[in-house]
Amino acid sequence: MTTGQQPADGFASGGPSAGAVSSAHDAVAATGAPAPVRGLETGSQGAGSPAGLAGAGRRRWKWVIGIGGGLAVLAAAALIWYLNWGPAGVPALVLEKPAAISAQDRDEIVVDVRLTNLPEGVYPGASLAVEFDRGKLECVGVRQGTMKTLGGAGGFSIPIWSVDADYANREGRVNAMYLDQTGETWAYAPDGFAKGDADILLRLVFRLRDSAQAGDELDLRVKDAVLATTDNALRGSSLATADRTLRAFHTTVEVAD
Amino acid sequence: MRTPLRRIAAFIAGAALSVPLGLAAAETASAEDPKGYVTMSLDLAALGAGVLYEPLKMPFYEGDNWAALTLRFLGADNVQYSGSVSSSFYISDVKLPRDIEVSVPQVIVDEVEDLGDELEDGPSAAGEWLSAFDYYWMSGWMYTINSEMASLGASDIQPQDGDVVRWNFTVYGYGADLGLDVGWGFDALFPAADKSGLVKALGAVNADPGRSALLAKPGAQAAYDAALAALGALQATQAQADQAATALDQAITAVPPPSHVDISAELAATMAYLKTTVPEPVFGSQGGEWVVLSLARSGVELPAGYAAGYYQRIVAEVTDTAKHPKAPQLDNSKSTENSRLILALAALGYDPTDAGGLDLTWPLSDYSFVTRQGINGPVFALIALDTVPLDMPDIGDFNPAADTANQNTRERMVQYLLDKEINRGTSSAGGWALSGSTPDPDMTAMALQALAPHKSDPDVAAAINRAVGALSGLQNAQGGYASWGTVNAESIAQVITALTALGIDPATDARFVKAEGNAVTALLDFFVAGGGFKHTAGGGVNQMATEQGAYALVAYDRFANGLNSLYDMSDAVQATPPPPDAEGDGAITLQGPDEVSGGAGATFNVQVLTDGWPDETYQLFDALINIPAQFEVTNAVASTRLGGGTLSWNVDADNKLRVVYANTALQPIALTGDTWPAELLTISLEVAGAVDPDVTPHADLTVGGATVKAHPDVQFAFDISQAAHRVSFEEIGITVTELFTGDGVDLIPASARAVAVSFSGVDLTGLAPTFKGQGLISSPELTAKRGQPTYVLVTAPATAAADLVAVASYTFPAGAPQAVKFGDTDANGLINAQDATDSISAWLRVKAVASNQDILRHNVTSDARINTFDALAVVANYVSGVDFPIALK
Repeated sequence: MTTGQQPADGFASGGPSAGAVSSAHDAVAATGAPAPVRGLETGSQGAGSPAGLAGAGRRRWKWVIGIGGGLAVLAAAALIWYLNWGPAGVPALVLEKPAAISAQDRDEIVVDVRLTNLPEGVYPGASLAVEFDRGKLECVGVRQGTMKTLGGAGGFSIPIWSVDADYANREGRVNAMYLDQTGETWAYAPDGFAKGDADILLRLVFRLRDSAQAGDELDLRVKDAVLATTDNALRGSSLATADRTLRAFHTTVEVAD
Repeated sequence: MRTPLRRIAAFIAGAALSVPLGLAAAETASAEDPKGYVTMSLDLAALGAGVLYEPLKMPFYEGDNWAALTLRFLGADNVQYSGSVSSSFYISDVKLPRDIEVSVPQVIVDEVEDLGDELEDGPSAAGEWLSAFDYYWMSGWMYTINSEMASLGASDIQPQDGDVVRWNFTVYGYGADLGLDVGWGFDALFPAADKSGLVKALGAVNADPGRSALLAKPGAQAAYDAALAALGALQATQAQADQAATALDQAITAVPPPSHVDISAELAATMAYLKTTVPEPVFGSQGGEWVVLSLARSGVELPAGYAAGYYQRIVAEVTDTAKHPKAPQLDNSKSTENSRLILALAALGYDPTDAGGLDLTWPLSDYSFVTRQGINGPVFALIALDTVPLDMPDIGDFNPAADTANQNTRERMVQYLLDKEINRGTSSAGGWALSGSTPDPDMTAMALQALAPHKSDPDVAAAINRAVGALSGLQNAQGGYASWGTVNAESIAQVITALTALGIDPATDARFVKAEGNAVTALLDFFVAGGGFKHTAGGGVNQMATEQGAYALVAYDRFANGLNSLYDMSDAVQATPPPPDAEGDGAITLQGPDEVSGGAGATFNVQVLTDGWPDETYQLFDALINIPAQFEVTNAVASTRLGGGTLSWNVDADNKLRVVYANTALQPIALTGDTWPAELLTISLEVAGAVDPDVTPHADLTVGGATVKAHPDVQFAFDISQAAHRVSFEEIGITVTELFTGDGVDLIPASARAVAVSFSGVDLTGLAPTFKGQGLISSPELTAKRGQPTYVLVTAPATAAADLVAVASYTFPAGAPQAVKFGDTDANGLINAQDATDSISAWLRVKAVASNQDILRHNVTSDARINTFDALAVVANYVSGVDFPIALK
């Protein structure tokens, strides 16, 4: 898990970074698979002769091989489950932690909102509500991300989300929304998503207020997020934090000296 | 799926249209020194969709190139392009400003099919983008200069004085389909006409400040339309293009005939009089449509907001189901109510088939209804339908259960009038009357006004001739007319209107010049100095006489200047209807329940609203609200649309609520949002002590003043003349507010009428109210807004208002009512993008909206339909906290 990120409520904390299981070892650690049996190594069987000891050694290795093979099967099964049905299969919105900022710095703080993966589907609507400390942070607005929608010259377009910074600063919550009013022509779709290249949904822009002090860790918490489909009522195909079909990872803004 | 090779070919073609040569960047020079003038247009002839952006003559300045001029012509928001204005400018997408009907000419279809291909579907709706590769993989945008293919990109060529640039959408052959030999291996499909002259002629008209007057000349509009059609016709010949340009030039340069009787002073005075005495026309036969018609057709400049304000009042009127339960039918018996309103809207350039979503022409489709009131019905139905002209609607659209034998047609109405001719078929035939066998000048003249557009029919022409003769015979020596034995202005006015509609000069035609005057001089005898007309010679200014005299003067003035007749509104400039909630001038109103319980402690809320906010910067808002002694203020909260400050309030010893909204740093305050009226405050009130309704039947809240201020002495005072609200006391108070009634077009059936019902004086905790056995739906938003338990009832439109406010209609059994949260279309307790998407899905008919609860969740704009406006409202609510309109009713 990337340092400083905290999973949204309702998901196990301390789990692996969503969508980033890199090895069977990590999968094992995640699933808490049992440790290898070690009791045979204590030598308490009472076989004192060298021959007895040799025989005992051959049986031990059979146990080790057998148990190891079983563990490998279990690990593979766990990996398959994890990638398809476990937390890694559930898309997540990740508020990327920005670099620490000096309390005197009034430069813009840009927070990328990254999507870990996008299942098949067409998503003409998306919204994100992020709570912040309006006493210490000022919402400046949002910027385009890198994730593309269908449509536009060349077949894709990076949309501009709607946000009202004044309202956000009054409420202490950024409410941003993108809506394709044609229903699907300019919708988000897997074709417009590419991990690493086109996976930033939008960027939230803040600025420190004078009341921010060195040492402050200002929370940015996802209150609600959804990537909406038109047939959600029939198929439950939308991705929504409220339905636990979309995870969300909060972040903080560190205020340094 | 297009092959990569085709994409490459398309790319090469696109690149060839924008080869950069490193010319200096175009800079916008001083707008004071045009170097010359050019004309530009954009058409979709290759799609069979005509001209999309009509030609316009424009100045160009030092440093301009065609890319800069193109953006200026189309509007930067309507174009997407790659490169920049100064380099490699290449248009990829153009926004459609209107719906288009695509019918690709056969000559292109044949070529496509010869390649074994077929055309695809593409964008055609207003707001959609028409892009390269739409409809066919070879398609794209290209331009010509003086009918020659441009050799360089638009950023690389500078205009010359007199140049003509035409942007076209090519479908096939990279311009071959436009009749150009482009050298890409595609020969021109046909010889293209040089339409530069045609484009220039059209562009000059559109650039003329007096465009409306030019096109109002006889035949000018028709010539313009024909020229535009020739420009948009793919295979128009050179002869056709030249002929269209010549005809247009002749029509707009024609010199009108001189006026025969100078009425300019009386006309000006009467128009000024109407503007002064009827500053806000409303729906009605006086102070309403005839005033609007006169002013609109006179060509005088209307006061700012005059037309828009009238339109908004009309929309509010016709959509008021309490007044017009059968809307769009505005009266049970008189179709003339609809016809009159159609005339006024058409005169202003509004669409009578869409007034607040209602088609006012629908009721005219029922012949039995139109003829129910006698001859006046068909007369004015014909006049109304022939204004623009308008199509006769299908009676099935108006009333699915109607007998199709009642389907009205123009022919039926014309025959009706012919059959009503006095003494028809005899040697003394001629004229019309409401009754009897003597032609009446008013009725005869109005029938002639209706028949004038149909005079090409021999039977009609004959009846017209006889009627004109009858009118001539009825005219007195002074040129005037009597009706029911009294010489009056109105009768003369109708005759002048009729004669001018027939092309007969009422001042010089021998049939209407009598010993001591003619019809025009006779009308002027009733003119009152300063404006207005008398009904009879001995009377004073009379409103009806003034209104009819006014439009008769306008009819004659138009005739004398060679313009379309009064009711021929094919020359009316189309107007964009104002949004129903357009900003006003800052008038304060109060909104609250009509009834509250007289019991001590009964609570309710009152909202202070404004229909506008001044443009200047202010630092402070203050107001004084007079609170009746029966009430006590428990709270005052500023609206979320007020920003930049906090609210302070206090009630003084006189029970006046004083509020101030400002911030400690005296930074500017603002009212955000663009829907009106806008809420400023919510005042929570409580009945201070028991009130006996028999002793104190009601109490009035008023606003004593409301201003915004800025240092040192800048102030704007809101208009408080309408800022009053009466609250009546009842044992159990029931306030009913109309929310909406469906029209059966977009998901809300015409049988669904939603009203909000607020209760006062009854504790509804644990109860589920019903109206005549039907459960009410709880609305937390309306309850919070009103400070009273408020529910929504979906009932039939015909439900009597008396029943809705009668306590006896309601029961309060134990239970939990169903609740609805406006905008929460998926009923999950949250409002977010899913709800906005669901609104779109509902409109697209992807998502079903069946139950009353679903309708209430979706129809947040509280109009007759569930459509994309509701989606926009959800976005505004989510992003900016804007209240849903339904919650503000």
